[in-house]
Amino acid sequence: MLDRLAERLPQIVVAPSFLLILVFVYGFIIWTGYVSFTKSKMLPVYKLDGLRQYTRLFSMDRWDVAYSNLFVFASLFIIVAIIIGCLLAVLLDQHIRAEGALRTIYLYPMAISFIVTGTAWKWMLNPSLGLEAYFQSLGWESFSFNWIVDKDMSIYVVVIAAVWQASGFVMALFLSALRSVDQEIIKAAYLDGASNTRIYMGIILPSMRPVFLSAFVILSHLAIKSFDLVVALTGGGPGYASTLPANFMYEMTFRRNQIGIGAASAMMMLATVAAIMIPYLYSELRGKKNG
Amino acid sequence: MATLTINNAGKKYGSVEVLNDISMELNDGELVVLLGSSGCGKSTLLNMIAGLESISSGDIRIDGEIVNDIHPKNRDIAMVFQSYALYPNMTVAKNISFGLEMRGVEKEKRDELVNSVAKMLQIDHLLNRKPAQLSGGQRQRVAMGRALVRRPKIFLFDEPLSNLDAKLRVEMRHEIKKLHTSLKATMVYVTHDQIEAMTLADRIAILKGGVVQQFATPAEIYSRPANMFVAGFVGSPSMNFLPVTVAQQGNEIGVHLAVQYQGKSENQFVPMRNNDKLSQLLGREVILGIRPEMITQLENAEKDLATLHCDVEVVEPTGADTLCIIKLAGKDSIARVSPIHACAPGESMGFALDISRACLFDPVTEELIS
Ligand SMILES: Nc1ncnc2c1ncn2[C@@H]1O[C@H](COP(=O)(O)OP(=O)(O)OP(=O)(O)O)[C@@H](O)[C@H]1O
Ligand SMILES: [Mg+2]
Repeated sequence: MLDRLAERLPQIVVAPSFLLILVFVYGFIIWTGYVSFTKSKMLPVYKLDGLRQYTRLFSMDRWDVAYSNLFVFASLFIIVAIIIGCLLAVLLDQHIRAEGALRTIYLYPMAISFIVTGTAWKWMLNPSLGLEAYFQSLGWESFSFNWIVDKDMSIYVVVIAAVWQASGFVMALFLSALRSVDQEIIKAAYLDGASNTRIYMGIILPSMRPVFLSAFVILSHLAIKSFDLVVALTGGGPGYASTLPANFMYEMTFRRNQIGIGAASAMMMLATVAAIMIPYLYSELRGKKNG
Repeated sequence: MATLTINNAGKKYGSVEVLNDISMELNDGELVVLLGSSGCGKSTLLNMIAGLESISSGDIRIDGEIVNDIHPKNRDIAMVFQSYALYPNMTVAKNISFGLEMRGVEKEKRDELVNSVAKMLQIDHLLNRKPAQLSGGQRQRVAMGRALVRRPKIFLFDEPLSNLDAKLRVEMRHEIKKLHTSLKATMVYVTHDQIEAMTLADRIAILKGGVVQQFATPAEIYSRPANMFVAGFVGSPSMNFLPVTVAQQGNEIGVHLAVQYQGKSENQFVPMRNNDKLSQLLGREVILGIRPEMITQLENAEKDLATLHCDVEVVEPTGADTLCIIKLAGKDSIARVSPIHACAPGESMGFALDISRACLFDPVTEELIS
């Protein structure tokens, strides 16, 4: 009896969370998928209505802006955060003094919620409160930095704040990888006469492909679910110029009584994530089998 | 082709002294092995020669020129590392040619050099592979190729064979020896394996705690070890150390050895040859260092050797020889006899002692007396 229990214990322990995930993640994905094919407005209805919500979604300029913003935001955010994080890591890797303190300083933004980041950057970039007002008060009258209220530039403000928040984390990721590189390889390259730049660009960074991959995956999921940053920083504005799909979905589902369109946009986000993640998981798992 | 001179070199990490007053001189084309146990500072010394570690005191000269402040790449030195340290993202060919490329050698010349080195090391069929697709022995060859292709003044090896299995290690050892004979290059080779050191070296420097214990040819280190550490470190099975007292019997000077014979303890007198030095030691306690092969069976032994009869406690056949463990002067000692003459454990047999080749050590300072 006890033996049987001991045998089953792992399953018993895992079962509740497994069930919860099954219902609340996969169950609701299916539910949302279903709702996106109905006429749901304020309350969900369950009468199927074909692809009407999707055609409505794609005809909305608001969705176009949000969806293309996602690509602008995600690609810039990922690339810039990786470049800056990588540079910081290489600089910190030179065994400078106070490395511990600097590392903590760079890493701290990651501990702050996006709401705080967004609010702080909103104040700093507000033309009449922040940087612009400050430089003008110093006498630099012509200084202007008003991206946050510029319809074409406001998404880049979101990129700046997000990069500020995430690049310290990327740095930590790269730094630990740099530290685990075999020191003898670096010594060998020295003796071969390679310069420092050459050692990093030609030998160390190329050998860190797995870290680039994990940084990419972590940053892309941060990018796709970015919601609070936009809410706190620009409120999606001016107008709806800096909304992301997550903001769009929230707006439609919970504020405009368009559950159907909200669900359709959620499914589009899921499809986007899947398009990125499935090839990644596939290559990872296949790699495992071969190795 | 170069000479390497190390003058009173020392290395400190903060207040920790890792190397202390190292001096040695390598002739052109000589292969010197740095031998010592783990943590004694071998790699540190090698890195100092290469320029990868700063020199705290003293100086290092290549061809008479002080290189303390010369950048590693300008010292014209190549090093083979324990972990091979191949560049993981480059092919074998690229790995070998990287140093040439950094030195601005043209592409055609590089390819030619890489091909000739690859042929010499029999890795020419692997040139397009990445290091991850090679076996340990093949990686080892690539690492050697990378060092060889540059034709440096001095080669440094940091335990290059310690990651290989026993058989491959012996093979590679022979190849390194052949390589050294054909290149006639100056080499410094670090190892903690005394057999590797004995077989490869022109001269061996034995290090302990950052101090050179002895710097001499393998034969001299084996037959006249400077102290008990060196004597115990070199040779396998290692030397027997027997605490004895120098005594006189009749007009012969020798030592008294307590042996176990047929269950009883007996004192046997063993006369020693070089009397003049010994006469000053009369009555003093000394440590008699005697190697296992100096204690053999009585049969076929030379006539004028001292003889002993004692009980054999344990018998260990190793194939070519059989090791007998006997009690001499209260210590378990090892004798090396031929398998046909070995007796069964618990029985007693006669041994011949080649005492003239034995060493005497001071029991306090552990230095060699004679
Ligand atoms: N950066 C450092 N700071 C302080 N001590 C160090 C440092 N590097 C090495 N040491 C010390 O120096 C000593 C010698 O190290 P070294 O690497 O030269 O040993 P080794 O003889 O090569 O040993 P092994 O056979 O294990 O490779 C060791 O006791 C080690 O603890
Ligand atoms: Mg070492």
